[in-house]
Amino acid sequence: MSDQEFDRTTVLGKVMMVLHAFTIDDSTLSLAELVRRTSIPKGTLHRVLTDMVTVRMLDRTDAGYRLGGSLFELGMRASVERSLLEVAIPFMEDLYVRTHETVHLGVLDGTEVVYLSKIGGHRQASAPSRIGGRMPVHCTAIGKVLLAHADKALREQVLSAPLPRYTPRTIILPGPLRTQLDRIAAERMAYEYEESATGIVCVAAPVRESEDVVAAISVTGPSHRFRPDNHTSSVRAAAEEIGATLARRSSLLRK
Amino acid sequence: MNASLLGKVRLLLDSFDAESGALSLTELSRRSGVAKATVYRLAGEMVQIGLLERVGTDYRLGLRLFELGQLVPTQRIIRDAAVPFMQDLHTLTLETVHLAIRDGLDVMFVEKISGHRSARLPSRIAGRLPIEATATGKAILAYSPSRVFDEVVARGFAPLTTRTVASALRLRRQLDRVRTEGFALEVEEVGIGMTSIAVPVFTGSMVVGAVSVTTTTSRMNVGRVAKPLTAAGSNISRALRGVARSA
Repeated sequence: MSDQEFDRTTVLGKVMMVLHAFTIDDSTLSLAELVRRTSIPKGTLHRVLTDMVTVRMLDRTDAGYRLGGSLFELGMRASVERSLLEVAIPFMEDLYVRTHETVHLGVLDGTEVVYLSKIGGHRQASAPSRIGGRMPVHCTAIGKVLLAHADKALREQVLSAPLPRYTPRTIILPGPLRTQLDRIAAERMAYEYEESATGIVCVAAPVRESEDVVAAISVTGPSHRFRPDNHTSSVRAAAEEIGATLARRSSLLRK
Repeated sequence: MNASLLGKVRLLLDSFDAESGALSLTELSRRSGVAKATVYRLAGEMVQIGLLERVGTDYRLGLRLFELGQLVPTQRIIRDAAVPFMQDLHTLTLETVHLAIRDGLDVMFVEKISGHRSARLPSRIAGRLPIEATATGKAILAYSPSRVFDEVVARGFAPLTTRTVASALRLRRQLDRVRTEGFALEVEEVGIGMTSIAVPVFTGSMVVGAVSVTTTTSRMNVGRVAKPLTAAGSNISRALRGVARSA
């Protein structure tokens, strides 16, 4: 998850530090491990944990603490409230049926992509993405397409910071990335050729609600069988249809 | 003091339901029972840490909650195991496929896959329905400890339609039939004109959820749907056993 700093002097700051101590590989964390990960003193932490169990943010188990099941439900509501997910899923299914490759829906959060949905069937490419997971913007097709359409300040922020390397093909120099972003903005399509993971290629298009780019949709496949440029028109069509549906819905809601 | 602060945070978060969308300060205060001035101050703090987001002058649940929610192992593991098989079912039937889990005496829909040719349904991801009325709920109940059945009866029946099960005797017969046939059939108990078939999903011997196919009563072909649905249920249970072993 992102490396946001929370204010450890407030109750909510400590609560967020505890929640963020959990990673995708953790099921249960002991008190000692939570002390280590949050650096909150044991006595204070124990009180915070007890409160969190009371309000069902955490479950207490024999071995320690785990994230409460109600967080999953709240989280699903957080995504559904964007309407985006429910509007997008039928179009994502269509794309999947057409390509039989993994279809992603992602949104921008800070300088990262958060994946709202991933539809992949049984033979999905082992892309390093997962629902609710984050990836950097500079090395993924969804990230590049969102960055290319983001405001100038965000683009400069990304281009002026180090661009971490994930594979030999990751673009790590601001110059070439800037050139590519300009082209992506003009073509309204982005491609990734093994820039976030070796063996994975991808094509993405922006989802526009009226003038705003609110998300991006992509199809990802293994480089040995998937040719991203063969799927440009179907990805673009799906993105446009999702955008048109969103715009229709919001104009209905305004009436 | 601290616990009550966190208690209020929880009340604010729980004010959002699957239908609510963004809520105004006044509405948040009304739903949560927390005083408006406190809501204003707390919501501001919750926006800062990403639990809430501002939409104009309204608030909605934050993207950070979505991320945190996806880290909860139980639901995520069931969902990830089920989705490929749900896609197969959708491709085969073109109808809406749901994955539900039990939460108390409700079923909660964890995943919904539908296409443009599927019958229109009002169900929502993260939405809830009474367990005894739905096909997924009946499939789960049939394999749950008998105390869950007793709790449903004690709570009483909520008539969603004129055809919703409304007596312990009739529910018991329905559940007996689920155990005989291996699937639950629900005809217009949730919505007039709609029919669902569901099968349970197990981790080992424990029922952890159910998968269903829903369409209009006139379009539903039980003979055609039951077999691939039952196969999907077994395949998901098998996949979950694999996960449990490797964990």
